[in-house]
Amino acid sequence: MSGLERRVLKLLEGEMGEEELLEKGIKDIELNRALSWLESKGLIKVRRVVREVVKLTELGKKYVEEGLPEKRFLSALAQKGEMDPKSVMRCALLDAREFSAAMGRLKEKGMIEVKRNKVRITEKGKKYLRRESVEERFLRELEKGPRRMKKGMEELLRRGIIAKEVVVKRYVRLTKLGKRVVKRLREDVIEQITPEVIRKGLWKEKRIRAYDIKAKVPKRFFGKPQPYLSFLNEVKEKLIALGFKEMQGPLVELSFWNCDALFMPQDHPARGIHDIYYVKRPKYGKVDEELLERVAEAHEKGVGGSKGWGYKFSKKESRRLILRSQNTALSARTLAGDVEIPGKYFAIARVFRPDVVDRTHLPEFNQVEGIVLGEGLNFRHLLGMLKLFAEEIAGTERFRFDTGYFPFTEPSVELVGYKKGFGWVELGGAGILRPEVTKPFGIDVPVLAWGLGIDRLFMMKHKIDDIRKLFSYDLGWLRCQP
Amino acid sequence: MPTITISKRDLEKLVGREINDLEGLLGYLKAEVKGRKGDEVEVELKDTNRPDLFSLEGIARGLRNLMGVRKRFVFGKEPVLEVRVKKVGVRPYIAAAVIKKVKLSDSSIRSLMRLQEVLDRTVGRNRERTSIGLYNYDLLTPPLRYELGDPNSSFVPLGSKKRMTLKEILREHPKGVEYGHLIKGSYPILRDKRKILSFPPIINSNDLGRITTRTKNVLVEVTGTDLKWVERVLKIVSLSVLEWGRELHPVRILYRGKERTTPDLSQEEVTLDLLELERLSGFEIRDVEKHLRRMGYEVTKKGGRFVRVRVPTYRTDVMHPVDVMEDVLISYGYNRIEPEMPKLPTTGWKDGLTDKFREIGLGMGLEEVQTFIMNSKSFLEDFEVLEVENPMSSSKDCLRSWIYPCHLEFLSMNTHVPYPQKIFEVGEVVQGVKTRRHLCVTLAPSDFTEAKQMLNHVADRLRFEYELVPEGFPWLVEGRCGKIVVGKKEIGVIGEVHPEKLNELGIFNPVSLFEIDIDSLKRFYERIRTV
Repeated sequence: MSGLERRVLKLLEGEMGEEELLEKGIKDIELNRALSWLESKGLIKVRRVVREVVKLTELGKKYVEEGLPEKRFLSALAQKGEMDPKSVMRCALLDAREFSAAMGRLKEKGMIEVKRNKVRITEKGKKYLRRESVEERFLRELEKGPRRMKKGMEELLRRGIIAKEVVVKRYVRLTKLGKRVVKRLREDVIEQITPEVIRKGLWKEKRIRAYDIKAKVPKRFFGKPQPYLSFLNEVKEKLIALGFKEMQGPLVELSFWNCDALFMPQDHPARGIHDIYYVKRPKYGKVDEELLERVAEAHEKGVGGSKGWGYKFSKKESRRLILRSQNTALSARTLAGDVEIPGKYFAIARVFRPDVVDRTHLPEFNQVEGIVLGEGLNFRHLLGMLKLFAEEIAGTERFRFDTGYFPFTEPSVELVGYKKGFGWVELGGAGILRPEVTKPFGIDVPVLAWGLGIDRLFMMKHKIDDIRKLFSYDLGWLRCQP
Repeated sequence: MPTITISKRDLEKLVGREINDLEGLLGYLKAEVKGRKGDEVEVELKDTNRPDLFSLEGIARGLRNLMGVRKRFVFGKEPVLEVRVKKVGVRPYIAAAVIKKVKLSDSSIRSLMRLQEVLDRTVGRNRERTSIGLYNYDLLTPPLRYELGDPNSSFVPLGSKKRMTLKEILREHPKGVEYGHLIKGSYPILRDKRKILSFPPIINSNDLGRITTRTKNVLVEVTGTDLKWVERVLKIVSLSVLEWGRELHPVRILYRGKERTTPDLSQEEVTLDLLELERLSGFEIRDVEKHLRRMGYEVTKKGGRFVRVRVPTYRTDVMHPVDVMEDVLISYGYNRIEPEMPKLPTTGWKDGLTDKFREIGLGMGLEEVQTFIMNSKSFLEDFEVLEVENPMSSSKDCLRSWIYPCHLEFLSMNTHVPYPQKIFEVGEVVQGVKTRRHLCVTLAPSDFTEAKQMLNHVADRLRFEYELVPEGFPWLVEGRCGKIVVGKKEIGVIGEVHPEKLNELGIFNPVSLFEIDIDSLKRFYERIRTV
């Protein structure tokens, strides 16, 4: 209960009208708020009385101040007893309309007489002038505030001096519950545990007021991780626990690492397995010449028992700057660098592919990819890795291996898992890197390469059917996520 | 990955057997059923390196091998036709073949049209590299000539009734408008003694270049800019047409000074080392020869450690013995192989820098967001950004160089959501061509003091000292912003957002922010890192 509510409660005795409460120094707006809260809590009962009242109009206010036109007419006339009408109008400071209305009314009531264009006050008029009329008294009362209509005042209404108004008056009384609460309130209790309360031991003398601990409190929002990043982090920690090392690399990549080093031919549809964004300016970067030479040879003539693609390799094309379209580029960089054998590597990183944004497509998304390399690794080990991913990361016991195609692996395989409510879904792809990929790097042991469709997994887990939610710009939605 | 539509009835007709488990069988060919509608099956071909499978006919051939069904064809040795090639600079190569005794139905013609279309689009690179034409062989008057024609010579284009000149076709015919740019102002034509057969790569003639259910013998022709691909595509198309016929006959192509006979149906031989196969697969496979035959290979020599196989002529993807080995494993069945976990003594490791700054951001009670790295140049016009050459839309045509404009975009989309909105992000930006990781903290409503308090907290956590140097930044209030300098290096920006920008974005709350390059703080992180 707020302090305001408590103040109002303490004031209540029997049934009280709202004016009474206002007189006790509570502001209008505060009172409204307190009454509606208290009423909703069942502490008070509010009786609403609808009344028709009358109040002064602007004209009425003016007349209260300056006097009614008929009074002014008479008092101007009274000084001389008899005058011509024009002079009366001038002396009484009346406009033409007021003057003629007042004259008509006074004549009718017999307070003046008109003879030969002269106006004369009668005795009745003199008497009326001396005393406050019923109308005047009523108007004076109305000056303090609206009142109920009085009989015989209809003319004031007609003359537009007063106007009708409908008002709702509230009368407030405590309910049984309210009375109990007020009893408590009147006791001297500790509201807040202040430093003084603690230091002086006030709790020994006074009771600490109980709160309604079930009452609602206003919502607040605290620091919280982005749900998709949390998920990626869980996957990352899992892979680290499985002995994988994290790889990193640039978003603006050379065509060399993204495609050529992965034996994706420059003139072949296999290159267009997905589309790539090209950088506008600068167009070209630098590639290690010796490595470039070896990769060019693998493409043109083949290495390690391969006949190669048999086309004219363009080194210029290899130096073209693009946006990384697959994280296998990071694996290629790792294999060409200080790679550990045996070794396990992974990357969770952003890739870009030209696409129009809709429920199922984004031009940028995160990919989880990696490699496992070591003496004696074989296809059964590749399937073993995929089985582990299916069980540990995708959380499914039912999965199968489908045939697949990736330009840089042979054999290639796809992991398909059964997810309840979704059926069979593609979870990832894998394969053993082709010798044409590994030989130019001087790697002679088998390299198992794998990638997981991580977005899909997250979407299934969070029951999201719109991929744009992964990078949600909806703070309201983000605040609702677990 | 191409997706094609095939008729199951036609497939069974070509295979010669009833097919029950189509999904399962297609798996061996790296193909997947995507949908069905009556007799029509939609098939996705995952192996982009196997254009020989991009058709009903190619799939039928693969399934026959798998099911052990044999079908005999006659391959003629001597060329039955000659094509004389005069200098056709812009599109210099042609290859052709004749298929005899064909029996075509409306649906098989439709299938061949689909094959033509998918090959033109994929390996043909929208007809630039190769394009295909089919003709009624019986209507031709040899010899054929492939040459540059007179732009004013005319014929009736396929599907039309009106005779048009080559020039008119370029200008008025839909195909001329679509593909006209490929011929760069010259007019290659294929003609016989009397008439024009086609205007490659644009359109065939309506009388000679039209295949109907009454056509008995077919001429297949491929023109293009790359000899290797022209001949490969011819091989694929002529073998597919042959599926509906009995005999395949070669054609002699006479270039100036040299001649070639197409199609070249020779087969390469590959030696398979069974020990290597066992090393790759991780177990011993019995009946390797059976598996090889199922995948279409011919075994020419066997016994001992080595098996010699002949690769089917239509396979252009076999470059290394591993390609054959994969086929053996596919035939054996991936799901019959027992997975084994590799046991390698490796230890995990992570960079940790990103995690550290996420932890600090969350510790300050901020709400984490993730915004796109791609954005639009028009939104980021006040910043230097890296543009892409081939955007799909103007809303995604560049990479951001700072995160904070993206955060203001974020706030502008959430003005109806309760405040305070205090957000942070650890994300990547591209400055020049270099990728950098940034931490950005954006606070609304807030002021400079709060931003600086948080920056101080970050500096305390990482144990670095910084200096603020007043300097203007886009969208920030001059005099209330500056760069953050550590040592001599500029590592970020702090400031209050200009009310003009806030007004423009519809954010009616004061916003302060700071953004730092965390990659440049790596050495401080390494000093406090415990593991």
